[in-house]
Amino acid sequence: MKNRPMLTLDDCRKITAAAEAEAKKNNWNVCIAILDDGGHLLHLARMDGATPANARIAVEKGRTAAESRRSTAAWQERIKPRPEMLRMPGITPIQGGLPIVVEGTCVGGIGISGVQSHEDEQIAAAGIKALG
Amino acid sequence: MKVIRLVFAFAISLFALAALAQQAPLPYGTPISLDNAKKAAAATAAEARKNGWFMGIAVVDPNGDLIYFERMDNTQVGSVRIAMRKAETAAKFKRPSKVFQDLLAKGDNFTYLLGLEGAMPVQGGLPIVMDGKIVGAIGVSGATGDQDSQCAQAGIDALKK
Repeated sequence: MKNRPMLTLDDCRKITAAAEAEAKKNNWNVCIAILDDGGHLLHLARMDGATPANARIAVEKGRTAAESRRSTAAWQERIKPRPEMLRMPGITPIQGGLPIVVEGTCVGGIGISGVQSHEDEQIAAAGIKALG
Repeated sequence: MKVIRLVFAFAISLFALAALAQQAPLPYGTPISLDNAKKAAAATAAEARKNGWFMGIAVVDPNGDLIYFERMDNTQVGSVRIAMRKAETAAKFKRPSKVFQDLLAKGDNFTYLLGLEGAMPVQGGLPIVMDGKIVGAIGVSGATGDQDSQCAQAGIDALKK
């Protein structure tokens, strides 16, 4: 039998708090979504001023990263030479989603939406860093 | 004949909805802040934890779009979407999702509610009212309907303090 690590609600709160702090520091209003490795929502926080679209996009970026075990930035690069990959189900190839990897296992994904894509990813990375 | 019956049923359903609307005339207000959404969810989770229940908890804006969501450890995966849909129902139709459940239980005349876009007829979704306006809704799923409602109410009560 194989054991695998799992994100707890406390882990999610830690990640979201760090991501929120990173956004606040820069005066950004974003939505932060964390999903498990099956692409099911674990935690979401939409900061005041972030839009309904941000809520949906954050979830889809997080889902892409969680289910494919790849950053959405990597997908963004991948579709450039191969645009037919846009037809892949469940893939949102826009930077701002990162897989959350613990002990070599992908335990989920985090998706951010609200500012420029590279800034979204910066917030996602700050969130994951808080896991230690 | 079938068409006439359909039209008739539609007219009745519009009438029934209008009657329902009169019971809940509150206007929509500015969406609930993230801080208040977290406060409500924390109280809901505390109520669940106290009773040994595991819940998905969703707080949405008046349009039914997510502002805050959390899933307690051990919560069944199915409750994620259901909590969101209960909250969406309470926000979009300005009333507790239990209203639809109770009407359905009355019998055949209300089966049309099953086809109502965006309405989940299962209790556990409550509108959040502040200063006489609907600022969002909370949806809870994970235990029985009554238990879900009890936890959702705890979230609402926390905002009144």
